[in-house]
Amino acid sequence: MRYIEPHAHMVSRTTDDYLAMVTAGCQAVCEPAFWAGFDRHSVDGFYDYFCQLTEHEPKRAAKFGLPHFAWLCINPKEAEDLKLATDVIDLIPQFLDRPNVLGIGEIGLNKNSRNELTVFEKHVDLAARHDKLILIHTPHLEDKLKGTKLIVDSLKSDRRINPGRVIIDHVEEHTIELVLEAGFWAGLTLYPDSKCTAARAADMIELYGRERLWINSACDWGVSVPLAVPRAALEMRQREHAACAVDEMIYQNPIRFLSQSENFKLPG
Amino acid sequence: LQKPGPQRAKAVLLALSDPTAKPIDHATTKAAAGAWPDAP
Repeated sequence: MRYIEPHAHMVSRTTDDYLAMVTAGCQAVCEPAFWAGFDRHSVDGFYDYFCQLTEHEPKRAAKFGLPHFAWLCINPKEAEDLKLATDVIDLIPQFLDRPNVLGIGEIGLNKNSRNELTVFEKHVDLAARHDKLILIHTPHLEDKLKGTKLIVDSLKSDRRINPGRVIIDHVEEHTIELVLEAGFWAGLTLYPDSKCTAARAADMIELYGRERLWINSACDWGVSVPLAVPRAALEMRQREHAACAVDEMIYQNPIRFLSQSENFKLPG
Repeated sequence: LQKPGPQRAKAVLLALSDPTAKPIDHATTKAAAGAWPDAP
């Protein structure tokens, strides 16, 4: 088996996780900027975090032979402090030329507040001005449907945005259709306690097909599973999905989307 | 919601979702509760 992990917060994971992922067939890992589990209080904290994502974590991954890529942003959970969020967004351009940076993400909404939407639109503007890919987080549970609609409406109102260069992550049964029908890519995020199980992901693949769809673990500092993608592949195989169909979902599709960034290159 | 079939999960999630369209003024928490408070 070979696969790409297109969404993992590796700064929160151990070297055992790296070893397990590589052993399972992981060919590359992509790390969006994330909420640390607590609010950061200065732009300097984000400067250090962006250095970690673009300098230090790639070196840690390289020790396991794993190419590491990053996305940059301030998370919607930290959007209520508009001054800090604006300062962080102003900081991002100096990191965009770093060789492992794929684009802006994971931006989006959390509680669907006005400030979150303002910060989301500032990020989208930054991505549009620099012609970067966009990775989007959608809210949780009761907030997901509304947040996904707000995000899709906002993106569709910006003529600079090509939906084929945007992935809207954490879709579930009630949001996947509206994302795909609008021409965006969609991400199925596999969590043990929330979002989506491997069985539900396989159900959605059977219902909606494999086009413009990827699977990720989004493993972070909370309860999450770094091997969720290969385990979902096993679920697909147990349902007698063809090996080539599984490969398309967990390897070829991520490459298809990510290769739109000139920085996404796999060795040899 | 109790009908079998491929859209059952979707129906459950829709029933628990916030159906409003406008952003809220401020986020007063970071967590989601699981169901919109006014869900049936």
